[in-house]
Amino acid sequence: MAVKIIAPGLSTTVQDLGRPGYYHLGIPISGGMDRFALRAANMLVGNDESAAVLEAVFMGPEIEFTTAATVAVTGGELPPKVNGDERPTWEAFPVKAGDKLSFGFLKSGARAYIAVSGGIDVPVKLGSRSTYTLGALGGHEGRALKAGDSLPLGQGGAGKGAVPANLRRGPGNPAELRMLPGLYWHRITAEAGKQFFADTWKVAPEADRIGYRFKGGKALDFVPRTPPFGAGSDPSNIVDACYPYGSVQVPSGTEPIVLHRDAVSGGGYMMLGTIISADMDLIGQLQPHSPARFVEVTLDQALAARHDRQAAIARVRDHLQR
Amino acid sequence: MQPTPSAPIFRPIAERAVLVEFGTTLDHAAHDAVLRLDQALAAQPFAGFREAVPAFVNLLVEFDPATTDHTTTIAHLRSLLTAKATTRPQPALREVLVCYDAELASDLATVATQTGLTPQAVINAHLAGDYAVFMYGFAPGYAYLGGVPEAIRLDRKPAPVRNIPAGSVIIAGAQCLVTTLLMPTGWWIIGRSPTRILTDDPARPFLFDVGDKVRFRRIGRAEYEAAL
Repeated sequence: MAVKIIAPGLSTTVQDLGRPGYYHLGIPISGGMDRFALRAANMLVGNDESAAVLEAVFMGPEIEFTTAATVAVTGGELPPKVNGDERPTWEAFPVKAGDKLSFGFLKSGARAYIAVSGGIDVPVKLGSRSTYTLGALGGHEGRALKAGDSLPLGQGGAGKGAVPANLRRGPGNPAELRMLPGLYWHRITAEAGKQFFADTWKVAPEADRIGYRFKGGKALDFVPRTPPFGAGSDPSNIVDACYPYGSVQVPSGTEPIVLHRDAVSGGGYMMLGTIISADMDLIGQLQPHSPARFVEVTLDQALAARHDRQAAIARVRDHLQR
Repeated sequence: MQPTPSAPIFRPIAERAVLVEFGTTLDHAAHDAVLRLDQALAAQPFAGFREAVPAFVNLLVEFDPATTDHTTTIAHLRSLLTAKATTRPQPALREVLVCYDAELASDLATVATQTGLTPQAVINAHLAGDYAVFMYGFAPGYAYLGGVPEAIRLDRKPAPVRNIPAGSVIIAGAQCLVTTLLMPTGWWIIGRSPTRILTDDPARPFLFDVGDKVRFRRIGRAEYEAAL
C-alpha cells in the first residue's frame, strides 16, 4: 500500500499538524501551513485529523497509487485529475490501484493539501511525521519529494462527502491579518505605528515555510535609544530573544517578516507583534505579490478569533459526520 | 517600567503565550532568573502548559488557551518565583575543538584588522573566553554561548552572508556559536569545528544543555580533517 511520486511538483512535502515541544532546542513546530485545510482533507478521507498528508506549493505533483484509496484535495484551488479527468476540490473521491493523480494550474491560494485514506505512513520523528527540510528532519528522508519516491500508506477507512463553500476559509483581497501589537511596539513612533496598520503591503518573493516577508509599506521610524548591552547597533536589534510562532519582526524597520511553521526560534530582531493563530492559515495561502493588511486586535479579540476558528473546524466535522 | 530579575514583567505576547522578561540587557542575574523559572516550571507544570523556551533575559511560556488563560498562567509563574529557590544542578563542562586555519576562518583577518589585533591575538582571546550556553535559538542545535572577551567583540555584519557551512565557529558581540546547518549568518566566521553537536539521540538531540560551560581547544588542520 503506497503512493509513488512520478513528478514532485515545485516543493511537495509530507506534513501533519506539527512537532511542538522542541522549540527550546531550536527545532520549529513545522506541520501544515494551512492547518484548517489539512484537518478538513483528513476528515474527508476518514483519517484522524492529525494524519500526515502531502502539502504541495503552487504546483501539484503527479502520483500513482498501488492500491485503491480515497483521496481529497483542500486548501488552494489546485484542480485534481484522476487519469486526466478533473475531480472537485474539498470533496472525497475514490482511486483504484494503478490510477494516476495529477493537477491542473493553481487557480487561487498557494498550498494544496492532498490527503489519502490511511495517511502517509512515514516514520514518526520527534513526535511528528512533518518534514523540516532545513534540518533534514521528518517526512520522507527529511526532504521535499522527488520523482521515484514511494510513500507507505496506513490502514484507511471510508470517505465522507464534501465541505460546502460556506464552510471553507481563505484569505480575502487584501488579506486581513490580525495582529496583537507586541513586545517592542514602543520602539517605533506613534506615527509609524499608525502607518503600519494603514498601509497595504504586498507579499515579497521571499515567502516560504520559514516566514513570509511583506514589502511596499512605509519604513518604520524608530524612537531613538542607546543600544542595550548585548544587542546589535541597528535600531531594530534587541538582546536575542525567543520568537513565538506568528512573530512579526522588521529587520532595519523596512520589510516585516511573519515567522511561520519552520520558523527560526529566536534571534536579535525586535518583534513588533504576533499574528494571531487563527490567521496563520491564511498566510499559508498567500502568493507572492498578493496584497495584505495588518489589523490591530486586542488580546480578547484574539482569543475570540481562536474560539471562532475552532468552531469553524467543528462545523466541518459536524457536517461530515451527518 | 523596566523588568528586573526580582521584579519581572509578564507580557501576554500571543493569545497562547506569555513572555516573562527579567531584563532588557544581557545580564547574568537576569539569565539565572530565566533558568531558575524554566527549571521550576519543568518540575511543576500547570494544567494546559505546553512548552517553555529560555532565551538570554526572557522565558517564553506557551499554553493551551482551551485549558487555561493568561491570568492563571501568570499566577502560577508568580507562585514559582516566590517558592523556595531551587538549587541549580552543577553545569557540565563541554570541550569543543576548533581549527583556525585561514581557509576555514574567512573573517579572521577582518576581525584582526577591525580590533587592531594580530590574527594570533584574536585566536588567543577567543580561546581564553569563559563560555556558557545561554539559549538555543534560530535553528536546530544553535547553542548561543555568552562570554566572548571584550577585545574581540564586534557588531554583526550589515547584511547576512549566505551558505555558511555547518561547524563554523562564529562570533558577534559577546556571543559565540558553532553552527550545525548550512545557513546564512551576519556573524564573523573565525574558525571551524569538527565536534558533533547533533547526537542522534532523540531524548537529548544536542551536545549542550542550557547552562553548560564550554571550553574551546585549538587543533591543527590535519587533526581537523582526521576528526571529521
